[in-house]
Amino acid sequence: MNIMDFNVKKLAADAGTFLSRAVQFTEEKLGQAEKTELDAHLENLLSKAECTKIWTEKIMKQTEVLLQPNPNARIEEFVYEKLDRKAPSRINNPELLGQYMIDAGTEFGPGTAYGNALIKCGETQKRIGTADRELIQTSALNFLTPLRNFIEGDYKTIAKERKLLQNKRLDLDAAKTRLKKAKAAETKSSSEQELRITQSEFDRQAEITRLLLEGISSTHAHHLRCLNDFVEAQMTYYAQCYQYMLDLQKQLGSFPSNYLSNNNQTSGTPVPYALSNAIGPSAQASTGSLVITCPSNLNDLKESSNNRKARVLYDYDAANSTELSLLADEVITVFSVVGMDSDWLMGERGNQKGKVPITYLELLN
Amino acid sequence: MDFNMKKLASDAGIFFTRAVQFTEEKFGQAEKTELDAHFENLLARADSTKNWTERILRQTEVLLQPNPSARVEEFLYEKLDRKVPSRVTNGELLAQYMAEAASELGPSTPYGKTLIKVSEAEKRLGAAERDFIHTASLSFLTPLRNFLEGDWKTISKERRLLQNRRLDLDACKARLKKAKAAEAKATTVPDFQETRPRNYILSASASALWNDEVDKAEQELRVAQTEFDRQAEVTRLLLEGISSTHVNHLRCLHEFVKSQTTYYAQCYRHMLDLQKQLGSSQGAIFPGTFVGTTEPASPPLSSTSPTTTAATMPVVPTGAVLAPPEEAALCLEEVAPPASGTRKARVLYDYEAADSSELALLADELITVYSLPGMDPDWLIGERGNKKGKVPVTYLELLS
Repeated sequence: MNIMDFNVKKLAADAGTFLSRAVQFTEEKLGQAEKTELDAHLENLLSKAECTKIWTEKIMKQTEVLLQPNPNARIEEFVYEKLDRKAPSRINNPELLGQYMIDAGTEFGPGTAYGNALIKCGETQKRIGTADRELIQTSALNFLTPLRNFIEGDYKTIAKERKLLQNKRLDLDAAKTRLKKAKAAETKSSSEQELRITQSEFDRQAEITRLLLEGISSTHAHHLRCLNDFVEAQMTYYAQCYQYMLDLQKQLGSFPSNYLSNNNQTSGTPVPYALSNAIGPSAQASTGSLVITCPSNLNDLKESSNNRKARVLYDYDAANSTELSLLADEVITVFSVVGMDSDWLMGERGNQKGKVPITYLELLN
Repeated sequence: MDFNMKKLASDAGIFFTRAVQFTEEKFGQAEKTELDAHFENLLARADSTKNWTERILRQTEVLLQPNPSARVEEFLYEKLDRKVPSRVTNGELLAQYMAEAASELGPSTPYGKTLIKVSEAEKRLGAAERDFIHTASLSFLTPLRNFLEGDWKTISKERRLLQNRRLDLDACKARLKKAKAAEAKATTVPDFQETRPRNYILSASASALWNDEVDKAEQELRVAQTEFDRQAEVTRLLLEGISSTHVNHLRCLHEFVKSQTTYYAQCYRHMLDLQKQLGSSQGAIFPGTFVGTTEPASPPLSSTSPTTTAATMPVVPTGAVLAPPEEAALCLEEVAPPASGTRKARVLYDYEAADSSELALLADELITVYSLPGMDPDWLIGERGNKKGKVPVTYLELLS
């Protein structure tokens, strides 16, 4: 019986409180009741927290899309995460492409020019795939996880305290209203007492909320650090991939000898005259493409500002005293000069020095 | 009407003959003309080229556009012969969000300022990615697709014709064999029937009849053989064209490698620029934050400086790990401003020179540093006034 009474009493009290809040809220909306305004500073903090939450969420989602553009894979990872199971390590796109290229090269014949190039390219794609995987893991660990922790941890706490603050304020305003309406001295005294209690609770809750909101500044500092980590991970990724591509281009740069070998192999088979003509132009175009590939390496040369050895491909007569005459097959030292036409380098042979055209050279390491 | 009917009947007859020949081959009841070994090799090579080209094409498409929905969309646009609308890349979208976040959170705060810088870099990365996708599609995917939809279709068609010619040829051979067998059988009959005049006449007629049949079959065989040989020659020429296809695809592969190198070079440069900006704003970050933030926030922020410093330093070890000494120097030079080749560096800790080739250092001083080709990647040449010597990279904070 006592238990029954206790429960009923508590239930009635809660219902009363709820009703009071509802009445207060309604009267506020209808403009029939006064509302305690939060101070400007607290309002600013609330606005800032809201803003931080929204944009953190957007940035996090878009970074996830950036790292894993395939929505099916993202859904799969999400499901695994919810099931608290470890996601199986998946071969990523560059690794799969690399595998196909290597297999294709093996089948076409590693001794052929195309097969050889495919195998080298495939190996590089695999390395890029590994770097890609590392970027995803590092970014997820250092950037995405902290952002997610903020949204699911700190911000949830802030939201909860904020709700409590709202309730305290409604209680406070309800008490104020009740005091205003009180007539009898005894009722007035009771209302004043109640007002002091609700005011005290409100102030305490406001203080707690303010402290939490001011923590947003340290959240920004933390996210700033995470952003730097993300930048670092991306930096590492692109530096590695760039290095891989440079290595690959150097390997492919030895193409002429491979092509010659392939040509010999092809000529071993009886080839009709018309077909020989068909291969000829392609070969020339291929050679032209190789020459075009050199400027990319030359850009590295310009940036490095280092001396390099170069072999001359064709004879060249200097057009004026600023140029250096060249003989086919000789080796000279070349370097770039800032502000000079990108089609030229400075060449040195012994104590002779002058401009040399890039297209006449084959850069050596 | 007669013409069409005759042609239809003729085609039906041919089809039926081929079907019979094919079936008998499968049951092992008929001989089959074998193609020569060289020809078989060419066929296998063509099949192999087609299969792998298709796989590489598909996987490169996946590499360039990992989102299957976007690929389906592009496919539809292509089929409808309409221009694909230019889509904002994921990097560009992230950049946009970061820029807007910075505006809302306060462009003058440390976090906001960094977000703006990072968003600009991400936008450039996104643009570089778009260029890469476009260039790779144009110079690598399109030629592969043209081969599959052009050359390969032609080869397939000629192969099918060759198959039909071979079936016709083998059908003629089978028919000739039967005719000869019948003729032989007919010529042996008179031995038993000579004594009867009527049978003799019939026997002679049969023999003559089969003889005509044999002649006709031989004629048809010659025609079929000629057509088969001609078709085989045409097909062989097409198959040998695979060599020039390989050369063409090799050139396209080079173009792909080139565009990918350009892409990563651009991205790498953008990241270098970004790190320089973030590094240079490091000094600005601390005072601004200190003024604007309450006391409890200071401790977490103070750890930002070491992180930023660490973010700058790993560039060097990365280069060292990846490349031989010569290339390590080259990679290190990537970090240096191209104009001068030398950089300013601040010393982090005191360092005593171990020998005359090294330079002693004092914490917080500024020196000029540069790298030499072939030198250990953990060292640089440092200069202070007229003093010069080797200095360890780990003791320095490189400035831009």
